[in-house]
Amino acid sequence: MASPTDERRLKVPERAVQGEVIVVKTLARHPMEPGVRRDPKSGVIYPRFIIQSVVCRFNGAEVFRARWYSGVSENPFLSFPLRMDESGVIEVEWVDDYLKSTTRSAFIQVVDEEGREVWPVTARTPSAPA
Amino acid sequence: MASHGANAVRPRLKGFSWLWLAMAGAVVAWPGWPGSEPAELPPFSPLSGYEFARPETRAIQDDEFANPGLFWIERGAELWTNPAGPGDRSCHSCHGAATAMAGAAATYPKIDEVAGRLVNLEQRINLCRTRHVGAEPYPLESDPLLSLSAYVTRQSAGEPLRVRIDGRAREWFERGRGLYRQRVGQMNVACTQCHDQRVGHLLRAERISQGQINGFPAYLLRWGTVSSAHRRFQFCNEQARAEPLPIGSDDYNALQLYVAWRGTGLLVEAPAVRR
Repeated sequence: MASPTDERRLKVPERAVQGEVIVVKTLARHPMEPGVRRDPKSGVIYPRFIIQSVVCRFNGAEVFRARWYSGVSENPFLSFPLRMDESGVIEVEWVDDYLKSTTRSAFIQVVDEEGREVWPVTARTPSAPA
Repeated sequence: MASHGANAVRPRLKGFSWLWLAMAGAVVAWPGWPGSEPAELPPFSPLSGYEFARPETRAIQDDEFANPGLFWIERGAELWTNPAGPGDRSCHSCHGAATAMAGAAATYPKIDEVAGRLVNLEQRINLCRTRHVGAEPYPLESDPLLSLSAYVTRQSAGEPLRVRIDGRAREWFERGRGLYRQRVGQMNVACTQCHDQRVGHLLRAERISQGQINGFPAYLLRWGTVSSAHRRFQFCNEQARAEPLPIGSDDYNALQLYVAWRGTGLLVEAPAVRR
């Protein structure tokens, strides 16, 4: 059974039209201990334990990054818009204070207006021999 | 998690006009001061805490993705089939699929015939664990216990609350009824003064609800965790500057029975989100 602080959720549409702006939704289960609270009995400060950054990559290229500090609530929800130009794998990575990383990924199929899938490849003409 | 529970089917009234209507109805229907109304009828038509929540809070509850209570329910689903004890038994060994629990959560707190006392759902799960699984009970208000409790409650989503107050539950009901009207703490207030007499008014920035517990165990934004009705009672006691009772105490169970009875007919919301 996974630790409760490892539970993550990612939600994106399965299909999008080229140029469409989709909303990427993420949710993490995490205590986000801010590092300023004390144990009421012993007076010991609970050490800071938060998710430091959330990185979103699309086909390996970074498209979104959030840096979080100790004011972010526990079980943080994050959503952001993203324009889809080609099919690919979206990957969201959460990194906590111990640099422990968790990721969730999903595939998004992008089609053009005629319904043909837009592949993440660029057609290049072969370069002329030197 | 495909089902949409109670929230998708319940008709919703916009704004606060319904509230004044309900209160006007309450004034007409109310025969007198607390204590003089017949014991078999709640003082007015029950309204879920959802109706008093802010739109942002409701939005979190309604969105099956953004609702963090689902984390607890997913954990509960894992624990349901997680073997424990000497015989490697789980909830699933006796009960089968959790859907067999449909409607069960709506009838708690309930008299446990063996122990001869009132138990709530969390205590019931622990009794099951000690009697049939042979494992250590979970600590009250611990993460696994609340996960299981939320998961079992989820099976009753959309079912109306229907606790029994006859037979042996009667004395517990009367005890809870008394506690509900007893003034406590430095503030010297009773539950009824806010949750019957000042419903819909503002308490600082909060809209005072009827204090219904059809959403519990609920995800509380203030604590960032799912919590039981007893922990919420403790919080209410603290607001009254009173010494909170321990979670799982008989007094809180009696109070929970009375409060659940007040909400008879309200649909179970699981997982509910409250502030």
